[in-house]
Amino acid sequence: MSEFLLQVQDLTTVFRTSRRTLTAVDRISFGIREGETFALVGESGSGKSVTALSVIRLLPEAASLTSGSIRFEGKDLLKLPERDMRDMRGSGISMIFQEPMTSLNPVVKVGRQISEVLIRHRNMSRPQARQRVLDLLDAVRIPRPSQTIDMYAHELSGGMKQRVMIAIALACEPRLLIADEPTTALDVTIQAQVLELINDLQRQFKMAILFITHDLAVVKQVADQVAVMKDGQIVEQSSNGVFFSSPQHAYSWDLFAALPAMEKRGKPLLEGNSHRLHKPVMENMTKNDVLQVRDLAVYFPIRKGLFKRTVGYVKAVDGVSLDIPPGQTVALVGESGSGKTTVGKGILRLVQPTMGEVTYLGLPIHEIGRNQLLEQRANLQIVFQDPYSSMNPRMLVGSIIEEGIKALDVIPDAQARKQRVLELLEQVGLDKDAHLRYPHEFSGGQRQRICIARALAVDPKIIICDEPTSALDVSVQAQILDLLNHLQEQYAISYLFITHNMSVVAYFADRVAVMYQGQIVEQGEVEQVLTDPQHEYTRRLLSAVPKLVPPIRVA
Amino acid sequence: MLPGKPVFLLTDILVFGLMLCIVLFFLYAMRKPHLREPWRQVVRSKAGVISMIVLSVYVGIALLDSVHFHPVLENQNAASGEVHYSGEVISLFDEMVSGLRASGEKTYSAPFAAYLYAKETVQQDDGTKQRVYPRLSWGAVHLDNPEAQKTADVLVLGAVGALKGIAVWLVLVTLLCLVLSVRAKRSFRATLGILLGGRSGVPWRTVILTLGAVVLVLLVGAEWAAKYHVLGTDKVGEDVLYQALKSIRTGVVIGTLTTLLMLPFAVIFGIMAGYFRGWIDDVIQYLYTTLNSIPGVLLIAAAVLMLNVYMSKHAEQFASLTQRADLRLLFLCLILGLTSWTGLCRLLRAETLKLREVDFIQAATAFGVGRVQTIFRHILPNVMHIVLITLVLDFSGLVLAEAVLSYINIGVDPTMNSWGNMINSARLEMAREPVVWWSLAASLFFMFTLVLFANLFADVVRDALDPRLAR
Repeated sequence: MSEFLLQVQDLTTVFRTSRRTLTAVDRISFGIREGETFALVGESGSGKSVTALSVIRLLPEAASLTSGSIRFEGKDLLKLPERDMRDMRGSGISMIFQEPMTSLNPVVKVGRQISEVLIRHRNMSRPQARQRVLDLLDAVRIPRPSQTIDMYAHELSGGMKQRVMIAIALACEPRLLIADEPTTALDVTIQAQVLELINDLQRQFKMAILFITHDLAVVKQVADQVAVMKDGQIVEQSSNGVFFSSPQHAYSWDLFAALPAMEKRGKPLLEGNSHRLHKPVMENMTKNDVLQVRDLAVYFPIRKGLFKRTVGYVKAVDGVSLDIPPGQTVALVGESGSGKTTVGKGILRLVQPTMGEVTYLGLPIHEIGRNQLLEQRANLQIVFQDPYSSMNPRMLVGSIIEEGIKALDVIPDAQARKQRVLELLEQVGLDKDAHLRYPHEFSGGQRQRICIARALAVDPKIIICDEPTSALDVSVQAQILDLLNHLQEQYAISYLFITHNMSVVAYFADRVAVMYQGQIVEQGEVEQVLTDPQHEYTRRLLSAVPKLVPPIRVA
Repeated sequence: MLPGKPVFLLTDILVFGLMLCIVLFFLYAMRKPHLREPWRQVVRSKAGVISMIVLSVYVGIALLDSVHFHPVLENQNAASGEVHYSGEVISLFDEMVSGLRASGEKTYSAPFAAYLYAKETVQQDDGTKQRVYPRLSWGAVHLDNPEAQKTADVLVLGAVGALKGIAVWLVLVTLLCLVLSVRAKRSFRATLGILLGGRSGVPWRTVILTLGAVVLVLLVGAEWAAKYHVLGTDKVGEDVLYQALKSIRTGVVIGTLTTLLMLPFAVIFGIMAGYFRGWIDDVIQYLYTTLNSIPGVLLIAAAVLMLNVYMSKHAEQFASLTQRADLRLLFLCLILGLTSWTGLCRLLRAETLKLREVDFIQAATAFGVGRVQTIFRHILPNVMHIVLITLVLDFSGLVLAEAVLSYINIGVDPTMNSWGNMINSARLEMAREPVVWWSLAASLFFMFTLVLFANLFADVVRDALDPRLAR
């Protein structure tokens, strides 16, 4: 028997569609030893998830394995009949997925979902299984297991759901656990807990883990062995220590370079992007803040009964005060549900604030009438998180960018308008002929560029960036951040940068405000808040962020 | 152009208006890639092209049957130069199958029969009276001795029809091949190879085979129908094949016009409720909840009875029986539409509710784009796929609904040919001894074919348009 628990040799997986054949995984080989954590890192589309699905033989119909072997405990999984493979899944190899929200059946109690596995694989009776489920829930550190066992998925938080998923995966004590981005959908504090839990359980159950992620910081924290995937191939494979001190492959270096960090402030993330030496000088501009937010509150009424009486309020934003100086970036940081997006929408009056004041250069945005608000729409713009849903799929890119110019009548002449659209496309680094294409023809990063062009089109003074990079890969994120920096330098635009990513804040923002449950608990200069946090929550947040010091390249 | 004075019935105008809309939509869609792509997918699927060919035969017959006119009377007074028209209204389709229309018998006769289905007392030459099955006055009259000749004659006619069919089919295939090879700038032989090898994007081989089957059925049928009652005759001796063919228009009109008439309600109310929320939403929701809780059949029965009373009181307003029947058909479409818009309205309201929170609508708001513009530019194009899917899916349901309603006598006018009316009359025929099965069989076969291929087509359209199924 070989030294490896799982050994993958020359694995190739292709997707066949009616038009073309796509090689998702291209002759990769790796081995995982017992009790070891093997991390597969790569950007979206690099084939890491397909690799995992190939190992557990759960590929979609269009995909097929064309070559290679997968040996698990000496058995060739590819030659195993489907019957035996079913036994293997769950008891030999099991898997946890990225999205805990959709991985659990919403109409079956979570206890039943765990015991199902036990009854299927271990032939346990129902009472036996129930006892084992209680032990498992305790092992994944769910408080009060005897209550949770009879709950439904929607009654649990995201972190709890992921713990239940882990409990299901561990129910039969598999030798190998495949974790496909297990913490990507979770908040950073929850992520820290789940990672620690997986680590402890690994020691307790003595299992190997195939850990799939795009986050280098997480890899650094959990992995023994690291393999970097790009375009279906493993370009580099080494131990944790070696990889994070002296990566070999150029692509690995690119990945590290694209990571935003405090140390890289004032420099472009990607080579070749123009150097940003200083913040724009605001000599001929007022030093006063362009936007002042005072005690902003947005409550959503809870209505009940036949006549929809208001019985209470959800206080999404509860008394937020912020100042945005000209030409600077203010970051609004917080976990999901903290109300940061609602602050952005409240400022723009995309949702009507319940209380508070929003003043733009002395003008009270919160109380001006419809027509006056229309005039101010040009000054305040927004870029959304999801580049896929923020453009009408049925419109040409040109008309998407033009829409704002037209609606606000910035440039009345049609010919000049067209010219402006072309200029904008060039500014955000896209081809000029992009204006005659549809949004679905562009990648996520390109779409986000189009969204930025659309916002720029009306010459705004402030752009509210609502997590503009969190749906993107790190290298694309780096491009977008460089672009935003460049535009700020050129046009002295202020950004309200809404994000949950601390390293982006450290790299990109001048000031930062930390939001927690609808309120700002701490704000100040970035250096000061990040190095010397005052509030308890900020400290908790910062300590949960996995640390990664990028290796220094020796020329 | 027309052999008579044209008559424009309301449903004719609406049907041709609808055709025009569909043609315009396709011309428009051809220029928009995001609209063209799903339809290209429809054309690329085998089930899609088969059902499209079969449906186009049905629709073609329905359209021909929708050009109405008063025919010119035969014996004109040539001296006066005046042209006299008959009071009767017939359609272009009637003119084309005039043989069938004029082929009345006395009463029932079985398919391909040479004799009546009922015995009659006939006086013999020698003066004695005898009860016999008399010869038909139209069906199989060309045969001297039907018992001995009929089988051979039917086979010969069938073979002749088949030969004609194959000839027409070969001509069609050659034309298709020529057009394709000119368009692709390829040699004729190479194009033929690609077509027959099934290597083309559009499944042309399937198209050719289906076309062959359709042409064969049509021409063999035509050959037989010229000499025989292929599907027999009904109680008053009318050709059943003719009735079944005439019923196509009724079915197609009900299936398409009903959706067309309900569409404005559903789209306007659905989008308004979803987009404006608040009291507008409440009013619209209460409206369709109320409407939904009234039993549909009851509402239709009441409305049709009211119309009947109106029509019998104002008989002078209707120039012909055809016009009267047509009004009743339109009214049936209206009332069916009125009871069925709620489903689509609900769907559209839900989709709009979802859309109005989507980022691109929010972005439009942030640019100060007006509400009406937002609806037309951002919401309507993004719910159109639901409208189209519903339209196609509802079609077959409505064809069946017509049959059910006519069966219980609250459907189309009894003088109008429809599958429902045929089934209704078959009720008595089935109880008769010996049983008359061909009316029921014919109407079921024609209806089944239409509904089956409409459903197949709807499946393909849904697969192509539904974004949740997009790969």
